[in-house]
Amino acid sequence: MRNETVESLPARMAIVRRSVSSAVTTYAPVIGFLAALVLLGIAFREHLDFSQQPLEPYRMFFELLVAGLVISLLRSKVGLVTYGMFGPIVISFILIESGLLWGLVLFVNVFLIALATYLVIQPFRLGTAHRICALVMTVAIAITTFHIMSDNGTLPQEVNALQAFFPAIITAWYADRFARELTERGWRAPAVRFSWTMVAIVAAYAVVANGTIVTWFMQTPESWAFVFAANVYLGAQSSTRLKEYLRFSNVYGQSRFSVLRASVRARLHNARARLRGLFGAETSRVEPTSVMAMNRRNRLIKQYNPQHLYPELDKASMKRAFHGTGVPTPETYALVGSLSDLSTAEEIIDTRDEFVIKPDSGYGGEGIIVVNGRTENGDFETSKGRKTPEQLLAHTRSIVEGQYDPMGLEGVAVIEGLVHPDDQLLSIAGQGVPDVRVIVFKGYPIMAMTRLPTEESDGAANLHMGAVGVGLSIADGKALGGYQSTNKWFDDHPDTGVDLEAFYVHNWGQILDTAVMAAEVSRLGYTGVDIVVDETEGPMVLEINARPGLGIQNSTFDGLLERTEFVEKLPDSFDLKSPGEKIELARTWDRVDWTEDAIELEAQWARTDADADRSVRTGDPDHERKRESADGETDGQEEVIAR
Amino acid sequence: MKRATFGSVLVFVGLLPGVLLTDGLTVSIDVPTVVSHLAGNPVIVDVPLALFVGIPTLFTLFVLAEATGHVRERKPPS
Repeated sequence: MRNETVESLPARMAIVRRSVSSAVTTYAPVIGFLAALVLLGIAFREHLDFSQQPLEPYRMFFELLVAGLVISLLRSKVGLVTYGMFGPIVISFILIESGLLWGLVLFVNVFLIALATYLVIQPFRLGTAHRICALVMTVAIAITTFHIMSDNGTLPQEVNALQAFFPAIITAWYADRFARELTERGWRAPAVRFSWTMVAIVAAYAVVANGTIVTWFMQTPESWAFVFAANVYLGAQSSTRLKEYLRFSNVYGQSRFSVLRASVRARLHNARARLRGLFGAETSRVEPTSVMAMNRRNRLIKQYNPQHLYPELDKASMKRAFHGTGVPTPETYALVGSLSDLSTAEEIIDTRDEFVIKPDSGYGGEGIIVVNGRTENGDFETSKGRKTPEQLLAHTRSIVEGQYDPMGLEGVAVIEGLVHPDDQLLSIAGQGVPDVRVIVFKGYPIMAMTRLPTEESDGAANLHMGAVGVGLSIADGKALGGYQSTNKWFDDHPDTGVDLEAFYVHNWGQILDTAVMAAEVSRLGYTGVDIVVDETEGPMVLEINARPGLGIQNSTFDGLLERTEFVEKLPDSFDLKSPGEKIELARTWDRVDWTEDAIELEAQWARTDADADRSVRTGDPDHERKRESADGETDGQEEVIAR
Repeated sequence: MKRATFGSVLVFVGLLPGVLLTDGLTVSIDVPTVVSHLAGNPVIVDVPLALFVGIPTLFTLFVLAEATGHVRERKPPS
């Protein structure tokens, strides 16, 4: 865990100087900023008479400040998923006016009316501007009506708090998000988010309603720097959130209390290591667990996936890049980026029977319609039920008008060829399009799973919709057991009964090659590549994710952090290896559970390679057999062992 | 009409015109004799208030049941 070496005094002094210099460069701006905030507080103290409560007119800003800190803590340390961060605080203001009970009733009523509006207008697939406008309009009408009913005595007087203030736009936006999630992912995901949002609203209310805390902050300007410092400190931490101790309890493989104990021990060790590091001792950090939690993943993404690449990561741009660099991907029929291009989409809908329409920037499978064939009367059988050509065209238009764009701006509809999955994974799942997710880190494939559709997921390969994720060994593509996002583990596929620990994925070498090639093209350091094996074309890249989910750890029963740390500790020379070499190394390391000394393994691998080269030169007939064996791609392993 | 759309229309009708049009309407419910200390005093339910409070309460309970996984995972409305 700890590695310390004794240096000579001058060397240690040099290290101390470097450490201090590095710390000053990093922390000086923040310390300067905090000092300025404290100075501002002192100046306020000098110039204002706080016995007269001069900041009372600005109380709302301090309520935002304190409640914001509480909500950010709930989100980053507990793992609350809420609709927005400041929305719950703004909504909690109406609870102040109307009381907790009536305020919540009021909010849910207005939310329900906005939600109902969305679901009624949904079939018309309005563009974002008109859709939001319609929602805000009905919200405004609802607020007015409830207000009038309260005035008339039909509803209690407390409801009249609406007169003071109601966050109409925030409520409309909540309903919009809820309904979109509902239509794409089913009830559970939006229900969880809505429930936690209600918890956040009540938490914000508790803080805001407690005048003492807010008043203390308002009356103590010297303390304002504290909130800023607390946010900087907490935001810089990448600790595991409380919720994740439960989510990955199976991967931890020990009791939750021992995980917490390990976490505390690791924190103490890291604090000591940092201190010793300042004084020249060579120390190393330790991680309390091998599980990659959300905060840690986000830090990794910031480090290895530069922000400037994001504008080029939408599906349309990636399709262009893949076609241009020879990465196998389904044929692109059209990229519809403006309303004037809709005629192209119309032509495809008229002439083709099988295709896929997807938004370039959707997530979680949102907005994807898989067209499986044409019916006798000219309609289409799709993944979203039977659709007319007009409905498909309307869907394409709604994508172009930005319905699936995170900012509600314009989008691009990608229309591509339908993939026909090969028999192996299809026979295990029994339906849909099974795919393989490979996590690629710095060019090394470090973890993989196949997502098998089920009856529950209605043929979709999305875990949150009920598909089963089966972890795969990087070494040879062997199945490791099934997992569903609702923390259910399976030995057999729930529909077909196939043993989920007794098959090897075919074409494993090609799948890893394709994943690594796609990651190289994307230039992302940490990415999840989704691959589907077509019956004639072989492995093809469906999608590349800059923020791959963490559920894969539950399917492989192993932590990602252990593997990313392993790769991060490799000498710089490993960065120069070719994609083929990196894949070979990853498969070798996977066979020894990513625990052995990487440099020694690399040396062994190099020796094996040199021996192989010698064998080729000397005409050793066993050479090919040895390499094949090392690859783990023997014929026996390629067979599906289905029961 | 799809189930979700039908439910939406019902909620909308119940919450806005429903509450407004039932103004002043009350329902008297006789208390069963088993509840001896309340027997003889019928409970008067204010219909608009019952709609105003009942609909969001039912929705919240439904959402909580879905969120806590007490119902089987539902498919998205098609």
